[in-house]
Amino acid sequence: TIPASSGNKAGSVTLEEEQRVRSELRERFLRTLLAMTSKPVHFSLYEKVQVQAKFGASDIDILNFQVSDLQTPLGVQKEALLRCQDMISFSFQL
Amino acid sequence: MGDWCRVMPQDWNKYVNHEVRVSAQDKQQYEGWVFTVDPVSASVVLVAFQESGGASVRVVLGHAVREVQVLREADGDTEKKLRSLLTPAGCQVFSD
Amino acid sequence: VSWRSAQAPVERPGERRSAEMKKLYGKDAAKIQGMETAMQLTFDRNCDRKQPNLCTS
Repeated sequence: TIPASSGNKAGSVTLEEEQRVRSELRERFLRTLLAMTSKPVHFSLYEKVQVQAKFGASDIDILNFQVSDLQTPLGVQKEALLRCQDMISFSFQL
Repeated sequence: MGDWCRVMPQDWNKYVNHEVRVSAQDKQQYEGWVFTVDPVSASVVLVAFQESGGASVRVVLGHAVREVQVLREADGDTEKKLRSLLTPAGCQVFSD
Repeated sequence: VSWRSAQAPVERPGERRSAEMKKLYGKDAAKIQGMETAMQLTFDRNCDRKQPNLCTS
């Protein structure tokens, strides 16, 4: 990849360059979500709640995750939706 | 840090391939190489390579990001490793 | 190779959304929209089939 700063005129970034960067960032993120499919994912929620589940899919706005076999401190839920606004982070292994 | 969600893609792009420490809400901190920052949710994808050859991936949701600190600059080797990590083999992207 | 298409109507993203995508992603808009649509369809299909409960913390 070519560094974004090369041949830069007066520090301004063209619309085309902005779109190219946004596309690359978004594609990488979508690939990350795809790589999570069917994998066990560990979620850190607010109030220090930790849950684990098998990732199914996300909606495109990254508002909700559809997961299976959700293991919570209160028991196991076969099918569930997790709200992304409740999460601080999540992790998985590749 | 509401600002993290409202910057230009180039500002997020500056962190890509660098090793960073993300301070999140609840005072948690996460370290790893930045694979990407989602331009829709501002979520940061961090990768930590393991000696076994695998990698652990951590995504910090954009709304929970307080601060991002660069620990180490990108290097060619890591850049290549990051790129091949989640890009399906045999699926080349041809530029025009 | 012969195949039958499903009866369900093909989801067509609206014109407005396409224009919006074009503005955001430029010449990569079609690729990104394709990936997003695939992900959303999987999400919708799984939700229809599995009827998950919303879990709130």
